[in-house]
Amino acid sequence: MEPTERQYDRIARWLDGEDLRLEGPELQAAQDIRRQEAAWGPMLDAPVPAAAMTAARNRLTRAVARRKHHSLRVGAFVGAILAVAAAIVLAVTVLWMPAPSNGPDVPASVLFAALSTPSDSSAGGDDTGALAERVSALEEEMTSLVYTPAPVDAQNNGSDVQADESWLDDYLNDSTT
Amino acid sequence: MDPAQLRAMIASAQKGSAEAYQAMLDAYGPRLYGYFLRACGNHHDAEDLLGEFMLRMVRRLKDYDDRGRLEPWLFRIAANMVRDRIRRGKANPTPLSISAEVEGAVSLGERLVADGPLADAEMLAREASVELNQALDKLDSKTRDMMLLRHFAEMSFKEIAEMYDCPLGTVLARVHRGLRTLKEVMGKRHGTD
Repeated sequence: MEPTERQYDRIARWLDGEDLRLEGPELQAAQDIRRQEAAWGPMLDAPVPAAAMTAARNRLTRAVARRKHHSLRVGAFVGAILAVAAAIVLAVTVLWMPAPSNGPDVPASVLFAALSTPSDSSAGGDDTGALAERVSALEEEMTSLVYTPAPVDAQNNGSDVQADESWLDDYLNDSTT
Repeated sequence: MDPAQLRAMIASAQKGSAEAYQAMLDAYGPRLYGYFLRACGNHHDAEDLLGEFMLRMVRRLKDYDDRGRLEPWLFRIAANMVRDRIRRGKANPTPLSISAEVEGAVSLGERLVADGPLADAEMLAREASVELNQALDKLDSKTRDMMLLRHFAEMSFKEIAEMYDCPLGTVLARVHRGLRTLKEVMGKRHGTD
């Protein structure tokens, strides 16, 4: 007799190891299935040809190597993006940096030029000479720039002008009298 | 393989260890090969699918969360591959010709020399294996797959029911009928049934 769907459900749970009480046709069907599975199992097994395992091993080795290589490439790509981003942030910071409140007002272009000056320590004697020349030129450029006085200096300068003017007033008053 | 060992192997494979992947191939390769062979019916497809399976495993193992048994996870991938292969009808055994004039073909002579002389027992085993494949071919693909998963993946009926999203009783009914059909077909061949 063919078990019903419900009976099959109970038998399946019993075969899966659930603690169920099967009786009569249910138990008979369950034992029959178990016996048949045990009989067919070994017949289904088939030896794997060595060539098949070798081929799979080779494909596996290549796939793992490719994956590692891919990870390295991704790492390098991310590194490059981060480097570019850092360079952009640096450039933006330098270009929009507010002028220092005291000391010489160095234009961003000069700073940028100074930053972009090669600083290769492994450069030879000629390179060092060129570098020294470049530094001198930059120094000259910086010193030729307009000097913006600091607030304190600016205040002192104002007092000096006032003193000069009051002296002139005194002189003019004396000369008219 | 004990569970702790298996977990360690999976963890190292997920980190990209080639040795761990090789260990997984050694542990599951023969069963997967057997499954592919019985599901597709020929060694050529089984070998090809085993290689392809390893590539998929390398790609997907990072998604395995190690909460359940590994076998259902592995054989779910394998079952999908078999389904795809059957759907595409990609059963392309190496072309066999008498003289190997066709490019990529193997001549019958070469094949016979390569295979070497077979012992009687081996010959009989091969014959029985071919007969079994033919008998399995008589089953519908779902029933065959359920039976094969029971044996090769050692999956419970509950796991198979979850995999196929069908009631538990339906799985057992299919397996039961499949086993009976197999017995009948093989019995008829040998005149015992």
